[in-house]
Amino acid sequence: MDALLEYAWLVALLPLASSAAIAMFGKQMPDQGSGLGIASLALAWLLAAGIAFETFVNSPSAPLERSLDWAPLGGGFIFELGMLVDGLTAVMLLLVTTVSFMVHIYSREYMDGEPRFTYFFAMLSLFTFSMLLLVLANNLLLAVIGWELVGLCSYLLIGFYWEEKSNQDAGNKAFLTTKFGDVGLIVGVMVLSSGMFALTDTPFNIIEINTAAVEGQLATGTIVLGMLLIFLGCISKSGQMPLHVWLPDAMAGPTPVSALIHAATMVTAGVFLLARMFPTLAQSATVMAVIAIFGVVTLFFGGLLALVQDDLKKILAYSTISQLGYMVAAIGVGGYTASVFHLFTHGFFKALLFLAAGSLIHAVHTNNISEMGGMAKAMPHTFWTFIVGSLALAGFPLTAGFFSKDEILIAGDIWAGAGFATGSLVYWVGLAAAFVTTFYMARACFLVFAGENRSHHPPHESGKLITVPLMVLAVLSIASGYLFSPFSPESPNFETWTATPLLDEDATYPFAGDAHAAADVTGEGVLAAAAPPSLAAESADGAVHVLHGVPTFHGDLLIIVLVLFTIAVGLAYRFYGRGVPERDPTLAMGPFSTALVRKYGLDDFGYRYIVVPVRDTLAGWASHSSNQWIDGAVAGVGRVTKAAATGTYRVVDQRVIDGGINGAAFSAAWWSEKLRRIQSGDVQRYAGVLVAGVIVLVLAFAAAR
Amino acid sequence: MDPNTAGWALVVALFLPLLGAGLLVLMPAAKDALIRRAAVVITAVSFAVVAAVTASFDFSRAGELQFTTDVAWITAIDARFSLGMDGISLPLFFLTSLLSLLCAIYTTKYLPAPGKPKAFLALMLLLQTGMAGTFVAFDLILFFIFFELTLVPMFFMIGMWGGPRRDYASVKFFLYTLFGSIFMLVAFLAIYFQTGAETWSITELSEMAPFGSGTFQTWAFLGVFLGFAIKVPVWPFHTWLPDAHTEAPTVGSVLLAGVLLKMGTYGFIRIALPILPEGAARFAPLIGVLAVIGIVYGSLCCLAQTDVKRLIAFSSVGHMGFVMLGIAAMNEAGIQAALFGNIAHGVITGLLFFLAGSLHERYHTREIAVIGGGMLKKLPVYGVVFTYVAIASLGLPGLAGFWGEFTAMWAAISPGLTLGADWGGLYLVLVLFAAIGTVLTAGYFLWLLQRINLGEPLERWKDEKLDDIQALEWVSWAPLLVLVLALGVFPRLLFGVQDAAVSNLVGFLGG
Amino acid sequence: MSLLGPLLLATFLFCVGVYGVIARRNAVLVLMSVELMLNAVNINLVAFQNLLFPTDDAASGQMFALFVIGVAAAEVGVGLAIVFNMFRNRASVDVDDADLMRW
Repeated sequence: MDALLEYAWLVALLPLASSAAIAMFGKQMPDQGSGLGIASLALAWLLAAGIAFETFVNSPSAPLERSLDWAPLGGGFIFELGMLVDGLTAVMLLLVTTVSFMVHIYSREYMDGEPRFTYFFAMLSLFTFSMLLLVLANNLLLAVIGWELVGLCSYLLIGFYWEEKSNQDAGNKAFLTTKFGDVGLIVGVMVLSSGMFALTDTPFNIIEINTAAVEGQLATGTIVLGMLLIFLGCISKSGQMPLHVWLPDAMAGPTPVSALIHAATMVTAGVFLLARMFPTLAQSATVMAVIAIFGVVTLFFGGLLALVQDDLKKILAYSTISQLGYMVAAIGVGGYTASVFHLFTHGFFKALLFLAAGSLIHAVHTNNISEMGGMAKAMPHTFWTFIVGSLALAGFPLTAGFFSKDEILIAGDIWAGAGFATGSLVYWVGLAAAFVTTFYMARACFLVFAGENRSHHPPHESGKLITVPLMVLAVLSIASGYLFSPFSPESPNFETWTATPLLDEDATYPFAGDAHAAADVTGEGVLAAAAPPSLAAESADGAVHVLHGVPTFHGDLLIIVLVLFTIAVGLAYRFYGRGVPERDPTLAMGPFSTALVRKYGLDDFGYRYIVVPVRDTLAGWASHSSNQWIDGAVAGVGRVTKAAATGTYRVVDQRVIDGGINGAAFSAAWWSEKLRRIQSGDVQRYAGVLVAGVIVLVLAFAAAR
Repeated sequence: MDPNTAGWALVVALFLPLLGAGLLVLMPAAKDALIRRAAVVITAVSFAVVAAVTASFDFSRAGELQFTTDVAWITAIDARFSLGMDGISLPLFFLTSLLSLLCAIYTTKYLPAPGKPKAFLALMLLLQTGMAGTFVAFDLILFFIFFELTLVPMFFMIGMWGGPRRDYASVKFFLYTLFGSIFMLVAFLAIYFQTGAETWSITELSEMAPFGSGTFQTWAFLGVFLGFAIKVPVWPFHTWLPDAHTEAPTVGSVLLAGVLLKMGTYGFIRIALPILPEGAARFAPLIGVLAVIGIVYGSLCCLAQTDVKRLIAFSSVGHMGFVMLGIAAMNEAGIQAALFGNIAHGVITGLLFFLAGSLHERYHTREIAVIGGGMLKKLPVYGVVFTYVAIASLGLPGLAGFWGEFTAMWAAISPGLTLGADWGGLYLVLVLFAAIGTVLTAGYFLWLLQRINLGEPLERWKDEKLDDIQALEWVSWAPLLVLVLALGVFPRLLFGVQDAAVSNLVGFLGG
Repeated sequence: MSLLGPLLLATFLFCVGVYGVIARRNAVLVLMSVELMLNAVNINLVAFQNLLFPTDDAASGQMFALFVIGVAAAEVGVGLAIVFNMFRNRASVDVDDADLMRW
């Protein structure tokens, strides 16, 4: 079975091939190419599942790396086309192909009858390919390529309904905001690679960079600068504040695309890359602190924004931002496993929520939750799957979201125990945000499913192609959590799955040394406390370990979370249980609500102080200066030259030189006019003058003698 | 053909177009269609020769000169007729020939007023010889002659077949570039007398370098710099470009962007750097700064344009900025990037100008606001192709534009020689700004696409019947469309060919 | 023998001739005055021959004098012909009337 890993590249290649085939021949196919897309994803999924199984049972497994020298880049450095298959890759492959597969099936019904149906499927496959390329890449340059292709596909799909200006704007906003982050990513990758020049001729290779970082061969400055810049890319791509602004607007795309973007492809790229580079970024306390702070801010303030939304998809979008905040924050507090685990479970339940939302929207032709209501009876399948997704998102005990989110909080707690303030921050803010999450999801659920139907269309359950993917994802939204729960065996579990040789149980943080070797570095978790046996056993050496071990279960804390959950749901029921309230309490909180409705003013700020100045003022200035000043200078040189030429001609040439020539001629004429008088024609006078001359000469000679 | 002995093949490939131009002149002007077909045949034959040369090129020794010819020419001044081709010349030579063929094909149907294909095509063939010669001449005098030879046909192409301001644009183009060339010629002379070796051979001079005092290197490089910088064009010498491009006929723009600008960067790489390495090292930070200003500034200017063709012209300023940034890096990766960017820009921007020309054929305007969107509805295939090329131009990975830009920035982050130690911080800032330039580039292209491609067509075009891409346009564009993808996916096509030659060249820099 | 006599005679004759050429208005008289001047030269030629080369058998001075007489005769012939023509055209032999060469 080991041979299966060798074919991991096929997982990426299949969607690419189907994308190309659909784009070229899709229109001639009986099902307009959708069948081909689904089939290729099915194959890719099978392969990914095989790889996942293989890496899981053999975990922790050594990474498999295969590469071709694709192009020389000059200076002896080589760009490799290569793949890196380890547990982390396998997790992502499984997640991406599963979600994408479901989305493909779902889209066949959802997008039925749309214009550009074929194009949609081609793009969907291409999107999947791009993400898989990023995931499989064994070097950062290839990852950048996948990353940018993901950005392009998101642009093309968000702006899928390009007849509307708002959709065009959303596409542009997504592409440009993420492209701005790419500045950081690209320069960061370059900075890291420049640190590798002396060590290898494949300076982008991820494993080599990570190894060099861990072994201290990379300068600290290089690591800090490089990783912070790369994190800028993650901020924009993974919707961290303040560059999250594109994400809610990206809801302009068709709902399956939203599901794909939010669950599997686009936004997970940033977190994935952080996880991929975790050994490197874990070398610097600064980098981790920055990451944690951005994550905390995002997970809390991003979540708050969902409170005031009436658009179902936007509620989900902001919840995604919040959940991504959890993942990023987890990276920042050493919760490598927790972050990837949350990424994994979140992918399933967020895809589920979006697809279920799509099913609702498909039925009632509106996104607005105040125009829904009473959908539970009409759409039972959508109803219960949506509820499962909501519970998972809210972290209801024993769902996947519960286990993964708690892992993050525990990671924060352990980090706090090691003496880092960011740890406590993640822990407490994370807990508060969980309450917020529960509340807004309950709000959405009550408004959508409870009470009377307020829509203008009689709701109806969607077809099998829509409901079956929902059910599959609902099952996964529960089941995936048990990969890393108190019920998990010591090995294999999710942690051993994603562990690598650099991140095994011996891995520690270099900067968290003796100073923080507090004896109480035991994860005193609130919800499901982990008292990591390995950590407890080895804390004597005074280091904080990357891997925390299998979590344990604390019944008393389970009660706290249930209480919190009940309060949030109860509050939501009180406000929204009987349909849309006269005055929505989330909008009745004065300036706080205003700030939320105006999205903290970030969008306005971006438009007013970045887009407009650059696009209109600065560009206008540049163009003006080019046309007036620089070109004016050139034209000025031209004019001066011309003036000088005219002057030369008029003064020097015409007056001085030609004047001299003419003057000679004129003076000759003048003199001859005077002198010709002598010529009298009188021969005798001539003779007289002649004789006089002779006499003068003779006398002169005589005198001279 | 044996690349060691078959110097004649290069001579034939080079002068066939000139011969063809002579043939065209002899043909009666009335036989319009015949002339156009003859031009296609001539360029096709010369392309076939170039293809044969390429096929028999010894890629394992791409660092050495092949297909060399070296005979005494003007003995009084020691000028020699010296031709040759290595991994750096080959792609540019090939591109020249390919673009000329495609332009000839395109001209069989599209030629702006006042027609006269005989004169137009003869000039184009003359231009082809000039352009191609620049890339294979290995004698400074010969190089200079080819370099200047391109001015005349291009001047007439703009001046006769151009837009409303053609007189202004053509004279400006001619004088501005000539102005730079004069300094370059003076610098060449200075180099000649400085060495005292009585040779104009580029290879011999490169091997002799560095010579002369620091002052000499500085001044000589400044002269060469002016000549090439205006041609590239480097900011702030760029202002002839938008005018020339906007007014030039489609084919003129394609060749101007596709090949003529490349002569400047090629000159930097082939002549300025290896012959005057110390001067180059001294100027490198300045070149880098100007390059990055060009990137950001050019992109900003694009945002403000209302004319599609002028916008594309300004985009060239930005893209050539990346090429210059690669040169400023003064290391192998930088030169590789510059050369890759050269070719990629030639292919992509050449295509963009073809597309802009076709846009004008259909809408009879190039004003963005007048076209007003909906092209994907009105001309779906054209719209898709336009999107494809625009995305390639904004540097998306997987398409040709990416490699030049990324590699240039990557090279500049650790510049060669001692630049890294002396100016490392500056270069890092330059790279950051260049990267921001890529965002602006994406910005103006997406905005352009939004304004002409997306949305519903304006009322005025609703009932107008506009043809989608015609068969002839497909023929003249398809090779470039394929190249854009091929170079993006297989960067080895260029990087591999250039690698050894670039390595040799950087050896002359002493880096 | 002394040259004084012949030289004085020659000088006198020459001066008379010069005077005649410059002062007379009648063309015939001007011609005659020219003859006087030529004859003054002839006297000088013969006198200096005798003084400087008395033994010269060739007698160049005398020969020159004979040539001058011959040329003078021819000259008078041509001159008189001109004067005749002038008289025919203008009915005058006054040299002041012959001013076609003036500016």
